[in-house]
Formats: sequence, structure tokens, C-alpha cells
Amino acid sequence: MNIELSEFLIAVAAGMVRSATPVLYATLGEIITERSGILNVGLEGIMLVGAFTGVAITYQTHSVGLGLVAAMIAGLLLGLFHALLAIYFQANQVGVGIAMTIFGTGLSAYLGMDYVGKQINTLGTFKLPLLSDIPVIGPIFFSHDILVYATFILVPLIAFIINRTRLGLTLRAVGEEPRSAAAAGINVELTRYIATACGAALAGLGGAYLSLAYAQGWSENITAGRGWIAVGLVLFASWNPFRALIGAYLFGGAISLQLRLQAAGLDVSPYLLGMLPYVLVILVLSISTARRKNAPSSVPTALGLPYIPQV
Amino acid sequence: MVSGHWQKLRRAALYTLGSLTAVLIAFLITAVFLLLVGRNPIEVYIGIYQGAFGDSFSFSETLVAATPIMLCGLGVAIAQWLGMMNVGVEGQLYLGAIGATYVALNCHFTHSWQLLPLMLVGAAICGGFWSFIPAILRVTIGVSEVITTLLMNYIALLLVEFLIHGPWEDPNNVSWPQTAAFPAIAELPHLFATRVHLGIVFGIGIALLFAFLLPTTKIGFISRVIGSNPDAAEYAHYKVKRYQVWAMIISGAVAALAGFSQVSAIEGRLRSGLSPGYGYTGFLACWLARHNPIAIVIVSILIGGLLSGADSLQLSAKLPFATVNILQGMIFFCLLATEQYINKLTSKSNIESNTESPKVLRSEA
Amino acid sequence: MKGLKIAIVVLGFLFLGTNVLSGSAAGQKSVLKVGFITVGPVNDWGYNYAHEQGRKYLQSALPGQVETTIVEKIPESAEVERVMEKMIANGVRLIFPTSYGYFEPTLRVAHRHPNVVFECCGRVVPDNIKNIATYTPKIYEPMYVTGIVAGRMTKKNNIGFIIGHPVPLIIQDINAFTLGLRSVNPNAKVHVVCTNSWSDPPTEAEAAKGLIESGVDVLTMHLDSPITVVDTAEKYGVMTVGYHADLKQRAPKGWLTGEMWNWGPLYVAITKSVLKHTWKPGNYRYGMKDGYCKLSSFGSIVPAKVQLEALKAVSNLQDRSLVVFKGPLTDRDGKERIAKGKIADLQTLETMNWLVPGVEGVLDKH
Repeated sequence: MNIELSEFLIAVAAGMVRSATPVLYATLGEIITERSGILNVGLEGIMLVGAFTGVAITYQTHSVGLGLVAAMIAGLLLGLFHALLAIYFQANQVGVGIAMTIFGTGLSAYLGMDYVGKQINTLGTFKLPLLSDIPVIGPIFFSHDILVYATFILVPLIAFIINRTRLGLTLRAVGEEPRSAAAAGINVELTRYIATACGAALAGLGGAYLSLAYAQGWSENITAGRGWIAVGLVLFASWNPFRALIGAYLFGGAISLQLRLQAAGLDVSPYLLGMLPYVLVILVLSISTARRKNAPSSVPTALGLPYIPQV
Repeated sequence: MVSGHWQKLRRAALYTLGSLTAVLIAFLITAVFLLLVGRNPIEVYIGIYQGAFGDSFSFSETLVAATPIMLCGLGVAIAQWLGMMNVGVEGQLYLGAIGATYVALNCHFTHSWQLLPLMLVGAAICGGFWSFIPAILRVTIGVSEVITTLLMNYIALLLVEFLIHGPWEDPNNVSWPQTAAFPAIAELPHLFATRVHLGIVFGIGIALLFAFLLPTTKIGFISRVIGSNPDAAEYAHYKVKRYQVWAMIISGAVAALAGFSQVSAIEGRLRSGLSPGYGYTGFLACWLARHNPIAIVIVSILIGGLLSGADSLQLSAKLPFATVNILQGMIFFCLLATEQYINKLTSKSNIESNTESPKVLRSEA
Repeated sequence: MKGLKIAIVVLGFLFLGTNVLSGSAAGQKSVLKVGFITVGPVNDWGYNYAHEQGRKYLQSALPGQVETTIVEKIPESAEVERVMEKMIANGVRLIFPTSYGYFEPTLRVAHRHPNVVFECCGRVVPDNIKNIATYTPKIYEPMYVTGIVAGRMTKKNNIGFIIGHPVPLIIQDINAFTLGLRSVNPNAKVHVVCTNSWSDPPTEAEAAKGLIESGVDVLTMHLDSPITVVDTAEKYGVMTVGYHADLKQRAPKGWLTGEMWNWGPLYVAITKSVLKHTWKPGNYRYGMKDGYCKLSSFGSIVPAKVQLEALKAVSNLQDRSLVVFKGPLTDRDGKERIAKGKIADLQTLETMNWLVPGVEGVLDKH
């Protein structure tokens, strides 16, 4: 197959955007959650339940839109459950996250048994008018589906909300100095419930992207570790949505590149090529961390700590 | 002193009872789920119990399953005591298997007592090296070891696949990707004519060793200071970074023993699918045991029982594997939810156990 | 103290239950208990699903004579030894470990239990082992035929082949497919992409997309489930050759044909031989003439002429006038692998690690 190098690179980049999107949703969600001081490492389980719910509801109602909404609601409920354990019961948040992954794997596999192989409506692709005609940029970014386009708005929007709005200020205050925030009249616990629920809803949506747009159906363990990658990418991104986008594209790009290098007949072990995404993320993370060594830490100070109101 | 012991005993008893209650609640919640899907929960639970602890054979299989979980859990704990979060025990397990395999296939000895220790060393070096990379990245340039250890799991898995599909492929039998079989002397001794092997002795031994070392030695003391307050340790001129790097290396080496014992005692060669997530389960066991080495041993055996009971469940109750995942998740949820109450019952301070995880996240840039 | 009481009650209850259950376990003797073990979920519409269908067929074909159990999602590691031991403890006397990677653990369990019969899917059992047999249909035969269909249907002369891992079984399939393909279309090429997993649908979808973008117009696969590749191909208007299951209804525009297993009758035959005590160890391979593997239905876009050509190849394979791996065969580097007039023996097939000319991709290991 003789295809031009430029064509090849555009195809790789377009694949990068697709591969990155589900992980990006989960990463963005986790950034919101962690900014409020709650650590939710159970994204893998939440994405799985989201992926299953999306398929089940789409199959029952024949509406992809409803499927996506349902996946978000499923994620939201699991997020609330996580928040309940983390806030009300003051449970260890890392532990709850791992338990959530196991639980979500089991629940989605059990309920999903009857949905394996079911044919469903899937999320259609459409080219954005005008934008998709731009050379290079058009085919890479503007010939996908609605959920991909939504990330282009969501990333700056979340960054704007976190950094520039009163809502974001509340969120950050709760994650940094919960007691001061409470003293200033902010309801710390409510804010954390909402942030965790919203974050998990986005993770559920990311899961639904896998099943409804990507694989076009449900199969067990469809996430194959992508939830864990998202947890890692939050650290990579230093809780910054734009850097999350870069991290997710880096990861997705490496996946897309290695699959297409194989298709182009490159004579290297697929297992060595498969290491590419992980090695690349570690390398870029190390370089960028070394360069920003003296920059102030961006970690939410109260992350993962239970909030105990002063009496 | 006597009252102190009494206090300790009372605390342990309360903790055990509280945990049992939590498990019971989990069983009740799952029972509702089982009833909803039309199964008899009592039958199901008897099936799990039977499969895990019902007879000596089942119990031996539970111990076999518990061994790698125990070693991985201890690995996680060792790093955690010094404030390092090692999510990479799964990868270190695989590296241990790689190291042991290299020795087993390339060093020609005539006796087990020559080969096995060398395999152990080979495994420990490889596992230690695998955890050294994230450790050094963390202490020199401040890269979070959480993400690097996590990502290196995937690399380790692919490395094994690469080796068994490529350079290490069995030259005599290439019908399946795996290395050649180890010589008979490379087999770790088994106990009581079951599949239980020396690995569990390593696990219990290491747990006892650390249970003894941590509270009594100077290194143990320094470790506790670093783990609970790295800034104070720095201030006291302890070589915090050096301690942390060594903790990670030892952590990886202990997890590597799980890989060593799996390839040596169970598989007899290196293959893919060596570990169905023992590392992650070990991570969970460590957290449930609140990094207490002795508790890790007990929790690992219980989790091993749950895993081993799972296939009996499929056999006798004809329930899919997912049921066990749901039950497991529920048990962990309930244990975690009740932890704070139990803490309140047993001691005054209840923040202690929860402050450990975030510290790791907080200290990096 | 309440907790203690509850704990005691629960423990007592558990012990009681244990006794009741072990009491009821004895009793039934005349029925042969048969156990199946699968590596993935039995509802995957693929490899494991096919085995589950076989088990159900066996159960209904020999009512009252067999009692079958299936245990799913057992990794190809030490775990499977435990499952087999438990099956045996439950009275199972015939075990089908259905995944290739179960072979080594099976050897160990079989050694401990000489009275239990093991039927491994694939691999080669040494002569001195008396209670293991291996069985598998020569799925590469229908692969050759689907290669012919693909060769006739492709316009771009580029076929994408998505696989999980490059193991000999799959290399056999790729080679057979390519030989069939090039027997009717010498210019066609097969491009292989490996996803490094038997089941990872999103990566499979991306691999399919990547192949389509680089210019293939027929896709086929050897994965646990064919669904994702078939659906992706249909979505982007590309033809597919399926595997494991007949997905004609799912892909009305692009479906060509596919290969399918037919385990049921084989499992009945094996089980009957155990019941009649005529069972013998050995390595059994079944061609298309035995009916344990077959072509799935042709898609509506396949012209009658091509269908006839394919069916002709099937009947040639059945009467052995056509043999897929018959010399002279060289690998893609020009090295002779099977000499002129020779037919590949079991060992050559089971350890195949070379690719025929026309295959492009990352598989070359040596």
C-alpha cells in the first residue's frame, strides 16, 4: 500500500483524537473531582458501568442520546456513592476507588451478559461544515463525532470555570483549605458531593464513548485499563485541563501510531511497539517535571483527606 | 503494662469483630442482589465457603492463591511505610519472573540449593531495578511515582510478551509462546504434598521480620519518622531520599519474589498470563490491612479464599464469575465504610490512617 | 458484643451448611460428569461462545448420560489447575480445557489424576501420556476458502488481518488465508495488525480504521470475538470475512463469508467414546470432511460464480484433492519450508512461525 507520508500522518493524528477522547473525558472528570479534594481512583469501574449503561439504554430506546445521558447518570450515581463513602463515612479514598473498580467490573459484566453482541445504533460521525475543509486540521480534528467536538469546548470551559469563576474559586478553596472555605460560608461537603458526581458523570460518558462510538457495542472489560491511565494522566496534567488534553493526545497518538505502523508493515515486534504509549508518557512527564522543578506545586492541598468540621 | 496489653487485645478484638460485621453487611447487601436475580444467597455463600475453606484441599488452594497476593501486599506496604506509593507491584512481579527465568535457563548447576538462591537473587535484582526507576525519578526530579509505577506495569507485561514471543521462545516447542521448561532443580519445594509452596513461607517470614524490625530498630524508627512526617525527617538530617529509594527497591524485590515463586513452584517456565492481577489485589490487601504486615498475611488469605471460592461458585451454583466481583466490591466497600467507626471505638485519633495516601500525592511537584 | 454473637451464629451456620452440602454430593454415579473451562466469557459471540454452544449441544444430545458444567474466565495460568482439581473433586471425569494456553497446567493435573480423561483443544500431546488427547478442526481449511472469496472480491488487492497475538495457530490461519487469496489473485496482499490482546474492542476498532485508511477493502480477523471488526468494517463500507459466528445479518452490505466451528457433534463423539470405554489418547485433527468446521453463509454481495468456486474448493478439500499446506511452499524470504510434494505434518503445522509471500506486517520473528 503506497500512501503518502502526509496522508499517513493525518490518519495517525485523526486516530489520536479518537483514541484520546474516552480517556480525556475521564481525566477531565477526575480533575474536577480532585480539585475539590476528593480522590477517585475508581474511574475504571465507573467507565465500565457507563459503557454498559450506554449500550443497554441505547438498545432499549434506540436512542444514542438517551444512552449517553443514562451513562452520565450511572456515572453520577456511582460518583455520589464514592462521595458518600469518602465524605460521610470518611473511608479511605484509595481503597474505595479500588473497590469501585472491582465492583464496577462485576456489575457491568453481570448485567451486561445479555447485551454482548447486541446490535445498537451508534454515535454517527459528521464533518463540521467549513472547519473540516481546512487542510490538515480539518481531517484531523473536524471529521469525528459530537463527543469529540464537545471536548474542544469542554477543555477550555472547565479551565475557565476552575480558574476564572466564582464556582471555580469555591471548588479550589474546598480542595485547598476546606476549613477556611467553611469559615467563609462555603458548604464544603455539598461542594465535594457535586464535584465528585460531576467528575464521575464525565467518566461514565468516557466509558459510553468506548461502547457507543468506538467499539459499537458492549463487551466485558471494554475499558482494558483506560480508567487507570486517566488517573495517571491527572497527575501528568497537574490538575490542568489543557495539559490533560496534551497528555491524552500523547497517549492516544502513540496507540494510533503503533497500530498504523503495523498496518504499514513495519518489521518490529508488536509488543515493543505496544510499549510506546507508556514509555512516551513517562518520558514527557519526566522532562516536563524536570523543567518545572521550581514551580509551585499545583496539587490540591486537601486531596484525599477526610474533612472533619471543627467543633 | 498489663493494662496496656489488655488495651491492645481489646482493640484487636474490637477491630476483628467490627470487620466481621462489615463483611456480614456486605453479604446481606449482596444477598438482596442475588435474590433479585433469582438465586438463593445461602446456597451461593455456602458454595464460596466450601470452595475456600471447606476441606484441606480447598484450604491449600486458598493458600496457593494467597501467596502472590501476600508478597505483593507486603511490597506495597514497605514502600508505603516511607511515604512512597508503589502501584507497580504487578510489574515488579513480572520482572521477578523474568529475572528468575533468566537464571533458571542460563545457569547450569547440579543442585537446587545452588540454583534456587541465585534465581531468588536474580528475581530480586530485576524487581528492585523496576521499582528503582520510579524511585529515582521521584527523588531527583519529582515525578510522581504513582503514575510511573502504574505505567511501568503495562511495560512489564509487554516485555514478558516480547521475550516469550521472541528471544526467549522455547526452541524445542514453539507451538505456544513460552520459554523452555525449567530444569527440575529449579522447582521451589512444595509443602505437605499440596500445591502450597515455599513462597508462603517467604511471605510470612517477611511479614514477621518487618513486624519485628519496624518497632524495635533504629532503621525502623527513622522509617516511621519519614513515613509520617518527611519534612521533620529532613529537618532531623535523615537521608530521606536515600531511605525512600531503598524502600522502593526492597518493595520491588519483595513483589518480585511473588513472580519468582509463581514461575518456579507453579508454572515451571515463563508464560504470559502469569498473574491475573495479583499485584493489584495485593495493593488492595495492603490498604485493607492498613499497611500492617501481619494483617496483610491474614487479609491475603481471606482474599485468596474469595478468589478460590469463586470457581467453586461457578461449578456448584453455576453463577458467573462477575458475581464474585460484585461480592468482593461490596465487602471492601463495607469494610472501608466501617473503618472510621471502628477506629473511633478503638482509639481517640481517627485521622492517622487516612492521612497516608495523600501525603504521597502532595509531596511531588 | 452484638458483633460477636452475630459472628458466632454466622460461623455456626456456615459449618452446618458445609455438612449438608457435602452430604448431598455423593449419590449419583451412573452419570458421566463433563467439565468445560473457557478463558473468556461464554457470551462473547466468538471463540468461547462456540464452545458453550458445543457444551449445550452435548448436554441435550445425551440426556441422562452426561452432566456438563462450564467454568468461564479462567486465566491461562496456575488458576486453571485449581479449577481442574476442583472439578475432579466434584466428580468430573472428562475435562475439556478449551484454550491453547491451558495445556501445560493440564499436563500437571493429568499426571496427578490418571483416571480422568482430558481433551485439550489444540497443541500436541507426547505419546507416553495416556489420559490426554488433543482435538481441533483444521480451521485453516475454511480459511483457505475464505481467502479465495476475498481474492475474488477485493478491488484494491489489499486485505487487512487483525489478530490478537502471533501464535502458530494464527500464523497457520494467516498463511492458509493468504494461499487461498493468492491462488486466485496473485497480486493481493495481506496486512497484519496485532492488538496484543484477544479482546480489546476499542483497539480493534482503531486497528480496523487504520487499515481501512491505509487502503484495504476487505478485513478479517482472528480474535476472541469478530463483532467489533465486522461492525467497524460495515460502518466504513468495507467488506469482511468473519470468524466464529455467522454475522451475515449484522453486516448486510459488506459480509462475504467466514469460518465457523461446529463443536457440538465432536463433543458428542468424544463423550460417547469415553462412555463406551473406546476412548484413546492421541492428537486428532479434523478436516472439512468431518464437519466440525465449516463456512458460514455467503453474503448477498458475493456473486454466484464466486460462491461456486468456493464450494468447489470445499469439496476439493473434503476429498483431499486439495491440501492447503502442501509443498513446495516457501516463506516470504524465499526459504523453502515444505518440500515439493510433501504435506505438512502435525509438528510443522503446530509450530508454524514463518509467513508465506504476500503477508505484510510485524509478525516476522526469525
